[in-house]
Amino acid sequence: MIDEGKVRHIADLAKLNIEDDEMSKYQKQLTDILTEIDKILKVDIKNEDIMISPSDNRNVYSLDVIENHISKNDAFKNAKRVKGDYIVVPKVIE
Amino acid sequence: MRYLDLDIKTINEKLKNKEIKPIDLVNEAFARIDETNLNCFITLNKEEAIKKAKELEEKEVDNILFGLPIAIKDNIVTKDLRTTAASHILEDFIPIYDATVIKKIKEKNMIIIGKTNMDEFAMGSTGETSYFGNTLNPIDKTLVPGGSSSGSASCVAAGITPFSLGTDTGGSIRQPSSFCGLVGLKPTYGRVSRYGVIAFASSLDQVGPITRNVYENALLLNVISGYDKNDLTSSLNEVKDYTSLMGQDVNNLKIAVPNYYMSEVIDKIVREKVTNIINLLKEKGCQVDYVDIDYLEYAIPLYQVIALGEASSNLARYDGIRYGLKIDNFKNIDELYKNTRTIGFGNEVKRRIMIGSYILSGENADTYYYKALKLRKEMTDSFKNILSKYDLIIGPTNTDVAYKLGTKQDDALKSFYDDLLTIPVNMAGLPALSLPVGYKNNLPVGMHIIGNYFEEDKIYQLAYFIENKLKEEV
Repeated sequence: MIDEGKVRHIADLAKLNIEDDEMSKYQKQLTDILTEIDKILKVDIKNEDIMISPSDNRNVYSLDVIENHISKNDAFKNAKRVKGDYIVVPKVIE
Repeated sequence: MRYLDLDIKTINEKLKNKEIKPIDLVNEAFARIDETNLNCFITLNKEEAIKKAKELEEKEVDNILFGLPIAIKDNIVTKDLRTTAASHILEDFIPIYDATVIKKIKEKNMIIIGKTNMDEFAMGSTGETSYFGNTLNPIDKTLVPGGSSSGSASCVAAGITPFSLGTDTGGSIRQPSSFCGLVGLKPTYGRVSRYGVIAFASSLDQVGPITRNVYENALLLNVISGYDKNDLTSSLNEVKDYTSLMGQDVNNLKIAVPNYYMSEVIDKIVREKVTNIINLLKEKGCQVDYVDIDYLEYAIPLYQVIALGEASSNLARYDGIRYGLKIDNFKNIDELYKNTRTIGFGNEVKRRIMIGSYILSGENADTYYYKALKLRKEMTDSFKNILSKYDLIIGPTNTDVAYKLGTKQDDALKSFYDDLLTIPVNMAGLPALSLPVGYKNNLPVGMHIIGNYFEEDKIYQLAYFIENKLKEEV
């Protein structure tokens, strides 16, 4: 079973809080999944080729022309706070 | 009699000769939502649907899908229509554009009835991880409808709409289709644009049709397929008429059955139903061979690394800053992220993004992720090898039929094991369909038909043959 410190570390990586009363549940569940995942480490694969995606498309570059644009009204639609022409966001620097 | 219970060709004729109007179909759909009470919708599009139906009265019936109601899984964005992915974090999200598949169905003048309930961010196999409560299975309300496209399957099975769109990352179209006795197809990766689909695992996700029968499934695939410059991974491969091989003789088809798909892990009666079909095909003159496909037994841990790794990256965007839920109680930016995400995401999603973040962090990326990419390549090559000798692969869609709501909810592995037979197909990016082929204790059993890349037409050819054969038997 993974320890509490590791659960907190994993939660921190995912930017989540873990409440104390959830700790044992997550210890068990994360251990179950990580134990399952460890099975792939035992597979013997001789080939070094990898597959990231089934698609083999090359990169596509956009033409440098103005196309459909998003209106200001639309762009503001999901913002929590708007002031004039700006979306107000929390301070992100100390 | 309800017009929506008729087949599509008949409805189309009635629309053409003005015997019925699109508004009649829309009214029937909304009436049935109220009658059935399955919680298969998160957001209804009633006002707009009625408006659209009225507008269509002035237009010529120019295609077979004209004026027909359709339901859309709630992880496909719809302009000005709330799209939540069944998550608290997107509870008030109003998209400002239409996904490419939505543009395409609107061009055919189909009418969107609403956004269907689903597992949160498509993570789950029962519909129970939805923030908006679980969806019920119309065959038996005490059973799960399957997931993650729970509402999309439930609403077609209940006769609310003849068509719905789902998404499939590890089985999320095929498994609920199987549990609800429907036809569901996951197209070849790249066949259908993912532009405007809320990403779960970008290298696995595909949009596909869920319908009452094979023919109608192909009709919807015809509409949603095609290259899209907004999706780098969409294919330039020519779009076929996917109905074109239906009715053609199947006796020349060479069919493989993976031994793994008929092993003891699969319920005995489910295997029997599939074996009946195998015998039917042999009698018809098809070559059917049992084969081994290497590495299938590693599909679940492979999926956990690939899908959860990609998910952790895709879901990093929900940070309380740009859109979606924002919790006001925070002292610094890190607290804002954490407090918002902790309240915004449900348990299944949290668990999955934790695992995903962990296996991509530091040295783990090499140990787990890189190894998984090699394994994915090997498994895919194994499929390709079989499909170089055979036209199609068949087996069961699922290990069993629909089960009770609330089963093993604390088991973190359960939702993965439900997708044991469907996940490998997403890994390889192949197309696959689930077709109802019988019943176990009055619950539908789904058969899986897997095809080669961009050969959805051949899948439909076989599915159509089997569907008709089974109809004759009744």
